[in-house]
Amino acid sequence: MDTNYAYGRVPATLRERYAEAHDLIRQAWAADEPFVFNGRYTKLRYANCWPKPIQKPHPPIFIPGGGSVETFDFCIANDYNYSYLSFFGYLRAQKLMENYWQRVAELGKDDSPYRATFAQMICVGETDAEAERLYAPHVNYFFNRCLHVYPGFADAPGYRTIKTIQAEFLMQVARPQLGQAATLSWGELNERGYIVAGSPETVRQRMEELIKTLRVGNIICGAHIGDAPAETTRYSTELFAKKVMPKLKDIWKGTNYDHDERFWIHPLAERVTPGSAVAEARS
Amino acid sequence: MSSHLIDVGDGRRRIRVFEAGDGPPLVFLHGAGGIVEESPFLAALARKWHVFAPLLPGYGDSEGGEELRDMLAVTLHTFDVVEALRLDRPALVGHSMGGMIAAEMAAVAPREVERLGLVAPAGLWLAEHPIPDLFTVLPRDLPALLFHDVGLGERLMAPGGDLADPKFLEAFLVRNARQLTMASKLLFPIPDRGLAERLYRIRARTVIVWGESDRLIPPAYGNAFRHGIAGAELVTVPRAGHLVIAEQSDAVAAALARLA
Repeated sequence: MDTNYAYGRVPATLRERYAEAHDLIRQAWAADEPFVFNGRYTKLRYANCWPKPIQKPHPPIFIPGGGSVETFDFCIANDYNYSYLSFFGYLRAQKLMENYWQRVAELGKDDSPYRATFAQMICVGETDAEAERLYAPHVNYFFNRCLHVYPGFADAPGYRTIKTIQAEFLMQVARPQLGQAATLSWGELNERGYIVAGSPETVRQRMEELIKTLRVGNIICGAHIGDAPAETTRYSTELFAKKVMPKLKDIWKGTNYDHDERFWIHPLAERVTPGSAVAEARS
Repeated sequence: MSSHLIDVGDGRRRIRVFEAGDGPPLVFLHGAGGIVEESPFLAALARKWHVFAPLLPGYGDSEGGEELRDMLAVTLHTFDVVEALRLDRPALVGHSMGGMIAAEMAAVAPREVERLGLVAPAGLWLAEHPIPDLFTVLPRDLPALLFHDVGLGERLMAPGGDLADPKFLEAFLVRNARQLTMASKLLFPIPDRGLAERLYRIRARTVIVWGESDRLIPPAYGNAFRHGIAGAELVTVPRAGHLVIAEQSDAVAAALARLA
């Protein structure tokens, strides 16, 4: 929808553009000197990137994906994190993530859960009933109003490759129809996992199931939903951070990947402050 | 009608060509929906012409479209097809997207194109007559957009199988995606690649044919092409929509006979 219908890019050449932009970014981060980038879509006589990332050769890279087999392979080959972005929850995502992990194995890579991320809408209250009372109107607004997309915008020709269309048939991964949630109630949305909602204990149980069944080391928490005001969002976020997250953090402890640092960032041992290099040079 | 595969562009592309008739040579370039071997329109043309109808990569079993990214590439590709068929300045006729390609060829190489037939061609944009977005129309709405006789359109555009059957659905979706992926390079998001600035170069004897009830590219565009191409004739066909070649194939063939 966005790149094609909103920005007017030809869907058939989008992957090529993306691949070229990726190469440009990687080169710009790695290069110590200005360089010439003669791409098909971007021509830069003087590519000169400042500031550059501290991590060498690059910081961890997370790639958002919606199930294209080419994106699986791209992430796996480069050791990038595959972040499955879906508004349709973890239960629907099982089949697709199974296929992702199968592809990881086929390509001979390790199965560190930190290779994968899942985005999940989460609503936490003190009790299940409080969660429903606080968040149901906003969840309803989001799923039944904001997700309405005219079906003609669903699939620009060439956006999915032929290989991906065929793979989806082979894997029996049905694309969720945007707008199809429009008749679903709080209970149904919760039951189907579109939202993970309830008391801290309810949310913990479901998140644990999500993390283990999808085999993901990272969660993008969809804490703000629809038209929820700031204070409601903060309330849910705080309950999640204080009462749920601590119990989820150690799920992958004791596995081979306990100390897998490849897909996360860390603060510098010595923080740099603005102007410190100048002060040092003067002294 | 015979059908064969040819190598084009030093083996870069494999192109399906339908061929029939034994008159003067005519190359027909299909629109975004493609064309089939059994097309009554090709048969009508073949009564007067030796017709060659090549399928663009992505249509039928034509392959090798990866390098065809833009208007110029498709224009040169189509000259490669003419070359591979060993034709010397054949009449060029195109419908819709094919008309856009034919007009580009005639503008890019005016000495190579002496006879030009443009049937409801794409390629221009008139702000006061915006063309509906072909890439967001739902399949069920296509017959009403493309045909004068909507009932006929519904019969002709039926998927030809059971969409509830996963095998058929897969083949159907793959076919549509291959075709429209190619077409999108010329038509998405607006079917204008600057042809208006090049029309003045066309020297070919030109016949423009338009369906009177064309709701996709309205007949005002016929006038715009006629004004843009010196000496062009415009023939308007009644009781026909954008798929005028399907609804009034004999009338279109008769209009194009003026090129002979």
